[in-house]
Amino acid sequence: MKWRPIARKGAQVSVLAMLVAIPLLSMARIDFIQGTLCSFGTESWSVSCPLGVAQTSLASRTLDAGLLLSGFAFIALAFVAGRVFCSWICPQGFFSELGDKVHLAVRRVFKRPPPRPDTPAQYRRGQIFLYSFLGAGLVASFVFGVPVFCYICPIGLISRAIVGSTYLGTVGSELLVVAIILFVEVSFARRGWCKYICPVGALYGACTTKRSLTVVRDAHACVGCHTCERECSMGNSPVDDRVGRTCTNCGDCVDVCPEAALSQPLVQLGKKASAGVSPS
Amino acid sequence: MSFLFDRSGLLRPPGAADEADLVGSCIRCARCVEVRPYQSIRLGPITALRSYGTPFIDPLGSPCYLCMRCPEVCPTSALTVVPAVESAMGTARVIEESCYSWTGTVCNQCYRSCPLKGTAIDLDDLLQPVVTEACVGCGVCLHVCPTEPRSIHLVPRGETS
Repeated sequence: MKWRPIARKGAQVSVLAMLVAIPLLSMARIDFIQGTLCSFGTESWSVSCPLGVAQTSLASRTLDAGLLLSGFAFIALAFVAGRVFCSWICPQGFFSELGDKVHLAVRRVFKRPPPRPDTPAQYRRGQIFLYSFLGAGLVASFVFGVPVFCYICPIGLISRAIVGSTYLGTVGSELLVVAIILFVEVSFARRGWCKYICPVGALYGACTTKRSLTVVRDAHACVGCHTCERECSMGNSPVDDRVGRTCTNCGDCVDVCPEAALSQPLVQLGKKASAGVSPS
Repeated sequence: MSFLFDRSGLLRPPGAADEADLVGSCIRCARCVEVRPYQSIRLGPITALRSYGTPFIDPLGSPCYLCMRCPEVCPTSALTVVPAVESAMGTARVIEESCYSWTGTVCNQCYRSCPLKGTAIDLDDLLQPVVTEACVGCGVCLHVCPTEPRSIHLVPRGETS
């Protein structure tokens, strides 16, 4: 077993454990740290969801230096490592990845062919929709004066459902949204939410540059077996050097490659991204 | 507690922005919920529509005791740090028709429990409770009132009647 899947599952489960632990600690009157993935911290520091910061700034039409600063941590992470939030931290990403395993199993049971990677045109269409949705939501936040994505964002819904059920004694009826997302993803649209809709992931994807962490193929070692593109649930195709902004750097393709031709070089500084691997 | 939802008006935590600003600037992180030592702050349920995930106080369950910790951890401008006497959550009003002290039985639970005792609720010459301009609407008087229904009417800030 490779180290990365274990570390990644460990991180995802730890995040969920923290989401449960913080309200439980609060119940025990240990409340020096509070919060959810929308914003967490102590009285002296905060880390906030950058999309939440953008939306609330637009909706309330105010700019607050402290709030903007608190949204910077995850933005910086995305600059360095792309959508790594999606594959290591996001609770919906965790459930969606499990859902994807179910999706593949369902395909096998019904003798359906394995999923094909997106064609460049499909990929581009998906990206156009993803970023249009993000833009439309930001405009809507400004127009209607409420952070519109917060009402449907499964990250926040899961966070608040945990706070509600562990602490306030409410039923997590907001988890219905998560259930719908999972149902759609498992039954037909592979990672549909993460790929085509999730505005948080879109924002992180938008932050990637040529220098950000991504998957790089060693053309000499690659034998063109296409195993990597079947593994990728986000529609990328490392074998064709098509790794775009949806790549969450989960590393599943790197681990599955039989020739060890794929890698995620940590230091891309000064190195021109070789042909094709630049985020497009 | 249905009156709390009349006119979609929720009793907001101390230092809260005006309703329209609050639903816009609240990032719905629940930190105000987790920091309070009195379990007073609750999150708007999905039936609260645009107030979903925003903080409110149900004084019948647990009123605000003016510990003033929630504004300190709010990462946004939804709750701002203010002195307790300026927390301006709402205003209480004594319903004199059913209040024990106003109908002849000395009670004064509200007066003795008020965190701003002597300023927000005072006693007149006949030891009847009178709410003053200094009331911030914490809801402690409503919580302790022994009559059923309560003889205190609490109007959240920004609401009328």
